Amino acid sequence: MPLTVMHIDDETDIREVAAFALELDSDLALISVGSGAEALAHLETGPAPDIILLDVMMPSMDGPSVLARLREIEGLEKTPVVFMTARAQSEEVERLKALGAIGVVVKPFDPMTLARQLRDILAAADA
Amino acid sequence: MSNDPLAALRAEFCVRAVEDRAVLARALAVGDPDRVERVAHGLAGSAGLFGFSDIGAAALAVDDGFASGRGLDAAAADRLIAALDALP
Repeated sequence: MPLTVMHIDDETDIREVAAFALELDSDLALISVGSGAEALAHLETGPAPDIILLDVMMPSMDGPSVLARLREIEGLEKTPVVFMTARAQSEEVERLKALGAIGVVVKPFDPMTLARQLRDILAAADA
Repeated sequence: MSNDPLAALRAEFCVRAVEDRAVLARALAVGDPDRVERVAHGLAGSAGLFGFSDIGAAALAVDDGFASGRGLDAAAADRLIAALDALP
């Protein structure tokens, strides 16, 4: 079974590069959406992904708000969430982890290693 | 033909960056810091992906002003405009 990743980001550039990056891992399936509302609609009706890669700063509903909402959806209470942000200060990273994320990917990320980075974060969280 | 797998996406970024430059200049002219923050934050995350580290660094400096609570740093915003003007 491929690892299913849901990527939520309002920036088209980021979604396109992430899609390129994650498709380098042939054992990974990607669901890419452009807003928290779109993600929640998908998550309320579809199967839960194995991991959610969630942009922090988005219009209308930011990443932390999306995280809080998806935790209220049955079956998603413990789905691993990794935040993605351009703000790499350690206080910000710690704040995001304190919200319940298992990790933080800093933008700009390396497209050649993003899939491995996600797998490493997942493995560390499972250890 | 380019061997760069990101070449097409980089070209799209350049088109959008020109649009971002116009939006940024307009937002600065009318005093719309929220829009400045949105544009800068987006560029801070994306420019480096395509190798435009100068734009990324300038955008991050603007974004840092908002993230730290200092608000709009006009000089940093001007540097971001200049970096966008240097796009190929």
